[in-house]
Amino acid sequence: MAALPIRTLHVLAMAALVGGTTVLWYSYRSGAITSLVPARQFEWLFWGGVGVLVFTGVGNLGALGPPGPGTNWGRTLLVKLTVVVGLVGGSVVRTLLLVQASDREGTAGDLSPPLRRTLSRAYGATAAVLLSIVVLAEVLAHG
Amino acid sequence: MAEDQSGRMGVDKTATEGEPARSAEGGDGRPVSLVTWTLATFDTALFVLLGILAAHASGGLADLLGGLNTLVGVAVFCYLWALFVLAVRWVHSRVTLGNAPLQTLVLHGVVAGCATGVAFLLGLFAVALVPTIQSGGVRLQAVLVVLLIGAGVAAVVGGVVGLLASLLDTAAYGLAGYLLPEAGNEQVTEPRRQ
Repeated sequence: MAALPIRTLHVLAMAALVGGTTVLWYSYRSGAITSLVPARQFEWLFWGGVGVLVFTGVGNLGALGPPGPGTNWGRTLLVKLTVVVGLVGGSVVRTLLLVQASDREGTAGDLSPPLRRTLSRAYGATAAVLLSIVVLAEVLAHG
Repeated sequence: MAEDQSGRMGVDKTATEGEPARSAEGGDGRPVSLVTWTLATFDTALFVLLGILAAHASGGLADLLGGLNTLVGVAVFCYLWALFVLAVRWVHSRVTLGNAPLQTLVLHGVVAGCATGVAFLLGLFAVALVPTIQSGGVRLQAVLVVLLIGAGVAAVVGGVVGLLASLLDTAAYGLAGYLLPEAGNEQVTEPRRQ
């Protein structure tokens, strides 16, 4: 009975993360955003979303009853889980980089071009990894 | 950690020595800082993901999740998440990441991990066993013995998790500092070189 709301929450959380990181990537790249404030606000949502994705993901797995790692489906799941671990590890470095940049430069002032480039790359890489997870999820859902 | 660092610059010297930092946790009025929220979620997510990954690689994931009700699973995860937030918040109220010696940080991480492990176990016991004890299905003495042994095991497991988490958090913070591009304006440090 809880499977549908859990799955819906999973998809919504993923959509928020993909959308947010893509907007920040493009905004820092194009110079539309020149401060750290939007990124700092998004990071709260991002980590909340990560938590939601993990527990709803585990809930989905429980509802599906995953086959072993020897099957194609199981191997794809193994790859997806590994990519998710990589995403979480990379994202913590990105957030801590943002925090240290805020400590050094303040949140309101204009960003230096190297920092803007670094943030753009960080959010771009995050968005790319998130999209690869979406593709893997698609493979798991539809074969 | 602007709220951590800029709000705590005045207390960092004491905080790094292991004394409590007196400033509010979140400088922007939030009960937790962005660093606490980030690291607590990172630690929780990694803990669960690595467990799932290991269970799946060994072929036991279906059995593990098969007996788990979805809502119970969500409740357990949220409880664990809340405990991690409290543990990281406690550590960060006493030592500042990036400034404190690694040994101090790890020690606090181990203590917080032990407490989290025991609190997690007690929470599960309270939910799972109290109704059974009240209905007279289980003898109280037997429950206490199991609880005592379980608390010891949970403290050890929690301590190991706390140790690994504090090492990982410190490594991530160091890597973030390494990847941070040099400041455009270096005049803060220039005069000191003269």
